[in-house]
Amino acid sequence: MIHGGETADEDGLDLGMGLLFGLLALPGVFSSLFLADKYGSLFQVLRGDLDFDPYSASLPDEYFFIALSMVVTAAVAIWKWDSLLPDRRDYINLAPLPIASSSFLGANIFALLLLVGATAVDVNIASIGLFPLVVCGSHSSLTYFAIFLDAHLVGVTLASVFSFSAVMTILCVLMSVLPFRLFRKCSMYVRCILIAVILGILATSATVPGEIQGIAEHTRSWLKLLPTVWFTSLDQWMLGRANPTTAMLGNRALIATGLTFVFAICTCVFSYRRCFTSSGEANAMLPARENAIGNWIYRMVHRLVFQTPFERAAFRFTTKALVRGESQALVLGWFVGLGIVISSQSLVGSLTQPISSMGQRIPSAEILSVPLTLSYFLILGLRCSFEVPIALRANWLFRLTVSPDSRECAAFARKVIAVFLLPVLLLCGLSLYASSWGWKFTVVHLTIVTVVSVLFIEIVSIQFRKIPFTCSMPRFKSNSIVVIFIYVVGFFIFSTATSTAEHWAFQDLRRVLIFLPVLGAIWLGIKYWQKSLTYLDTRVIFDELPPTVVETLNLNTSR
Amino acid sequence: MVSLVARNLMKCYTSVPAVEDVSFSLRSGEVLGCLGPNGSGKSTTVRMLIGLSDPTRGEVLFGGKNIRMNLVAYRKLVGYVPEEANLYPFLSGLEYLELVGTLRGMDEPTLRKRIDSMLELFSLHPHRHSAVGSYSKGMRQRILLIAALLDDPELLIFDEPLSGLDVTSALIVKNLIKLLGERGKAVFYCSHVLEVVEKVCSHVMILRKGRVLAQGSADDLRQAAGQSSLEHAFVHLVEDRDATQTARDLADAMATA
Repeated sequence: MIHGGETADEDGLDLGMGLLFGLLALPGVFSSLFLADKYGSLFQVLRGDLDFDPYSASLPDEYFFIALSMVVTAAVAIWKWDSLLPDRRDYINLAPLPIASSSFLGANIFALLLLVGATAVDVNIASIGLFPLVVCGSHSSLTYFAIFLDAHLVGVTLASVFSFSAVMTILCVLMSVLPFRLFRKCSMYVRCILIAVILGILATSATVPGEIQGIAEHTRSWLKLLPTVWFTSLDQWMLGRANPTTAMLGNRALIATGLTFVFAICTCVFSYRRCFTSSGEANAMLPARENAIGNWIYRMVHRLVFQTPFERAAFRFTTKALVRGESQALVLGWFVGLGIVISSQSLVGSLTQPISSMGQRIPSAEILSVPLTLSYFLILGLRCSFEVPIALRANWLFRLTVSPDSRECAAFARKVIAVFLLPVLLLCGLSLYASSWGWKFTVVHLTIVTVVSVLFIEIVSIQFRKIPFTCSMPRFKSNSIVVIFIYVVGFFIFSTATSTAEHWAFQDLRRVLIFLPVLGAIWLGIKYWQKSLTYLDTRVIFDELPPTVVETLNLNTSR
Repeated sequence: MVSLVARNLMKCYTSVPAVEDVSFSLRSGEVLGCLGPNGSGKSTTVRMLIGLSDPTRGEVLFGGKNIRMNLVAYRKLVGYVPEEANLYPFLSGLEYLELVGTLRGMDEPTLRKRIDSMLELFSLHPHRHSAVGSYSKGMRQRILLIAALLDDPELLIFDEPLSGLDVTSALIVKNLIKLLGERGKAVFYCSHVLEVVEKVCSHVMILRKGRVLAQGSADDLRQAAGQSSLEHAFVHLVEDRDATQTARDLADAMATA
């Protein structure tokens, strides 16, 4: 299920077990440590909160850890979707051996149980170790700590088992019900939908915990349908803080986990034979026909945007790899899903606020941030997915035909991102703004969003020197955490700060002119940065190698 | 008339020489066969010839100029069939060939016409829209051959081009290579299959442990080794072991308790 490093070139997202488990445990570590100030006795005194009850105060954090546990475990199952059941490679290696298929099934189920267990432990081990310490640190009673530890351990572990089993069940049911070819076709779409669902679950962490204690009086029954609410209720029940409704929901968590687990095993057994025997047909030649509409779109885009043979060939290759490559589509799906979840939250949040008026209706900063958020995550998603290689051994074709000294890669990446982005911006802008706020705001807003997006595209592709999907994966670097932090800060600058500034400017349209010198200065900065790049920063690469102590310039060969 | 000249080629991997002092020349109309056992340096030589790998020492000249002077222009004149059929599995056969042709700068109408006719001739036309990943090994090899021939290159470099091909396709390719030589193309042909090399190549070069062991026409090599066929000459020059005895030892090992 988890391949080693030696096959990493075939699947660009193979990180190896050590790094993978390290990364999975990371969110729990950071989240626990960030909470230290909330529960520290010194901070409570400083805040003047002398009646601080850690159990009550921990409810939103407990909800977050349960959601995180479910999301990360489900993400592993979605990522390893194709490896959970035997694949073609297993079939080729195992089928000729004189071993009964029931033995393979037993081994597969055992491996799955091992994976669930290992993932549940790994994802939660940091929060199990740190979170109870952080919460109960100021209490001297060991029983107080032990009860909290017990409740947290059971809650997050069962949540992990539940989410993994749920994804597994969906996979096995689809495998059993759908014809094999249809299953393969719709597999990627189902995974993208699941990604959106788990991101949505994580997004509920901001709003749902506040409602759990009062859930009995609530008529909004949809809260009771959320698995995260069940497991948080289970935690509250184990802490002795449950009301009848949360006790019932806690009970539901136990039943749901048991049922989903059993159902996952049953569907796995049921679909196994079909899956194993059809693995041999996984590469069977599927009848296909020419896509006339697709070809027409390509011709149009070629004429308008991509002029050189390299650009035209690479654009066709890039779009097809993006649509047909599972790892690439999933990376993009993660980012776009996150963008949709955050922008939906902004949109829903803004609907509850009154529309401000300055003689005329002005869209709120939240509504203005929607295309910016989508744009930010689409740009980042495309940029990150370009790093994920596809069929790396086939890249000899590009090595042979593209000059290493070609400087077309960065410009090409910029164009591809723009081609994907502009229709989304137009569609989103016109549907959201034109009907409600008129053409004037729509045009001004979309112009600002487009210019800001173009500048961001310039920034993210400035040192891009690869043909998308043709270079080996960059190694995990020590500065990767800093890069993630920069992405988060970048989001606030790009989306929140820009939309707030826009909202302020729209109160008097003349203020929009202030954007000109700011954006102009950024553009000049980018141009200066581009000019300062050396030959080594721009030549095309097909291998991500660790930096060498001494770089040779190959001055004996002509460039 | 163009010519490919390899001059004192040497390639070292972590100071161990994989190829050492390899020199030869190949003119238009010639088909040079490159023979050698596994690990003799054939593929390393090929990689240097097409500019995928830099020689540690020596140079490759084409038309009298070092290929490194203008690698892109040189590669435009070269058609290459690699040893392994590594293609993009998510593209259809047609899409892959379009990618190759577009990257080589061919204009669309010519490209489309050539792809259609070649797919037809290689019996791949009915499968042109299917994903390459679903192709058999022989079909992938045929796609590679079409990709190499698509732009009518001056120099063709084949590394085991018959690998996985069925009898008919192999026969077509063998005749094609001969014909390409007769039509003035320069062909560098790497293979393990001695009979084919003997039939299609005008010149033969034998490599062993990274060095050129013998070079000349097939007749010259046969006569020099005092053998009746190229196969016997090759065994005489290259192999240390008695193949019959090794086969017998293997069969015995299988039966050992």
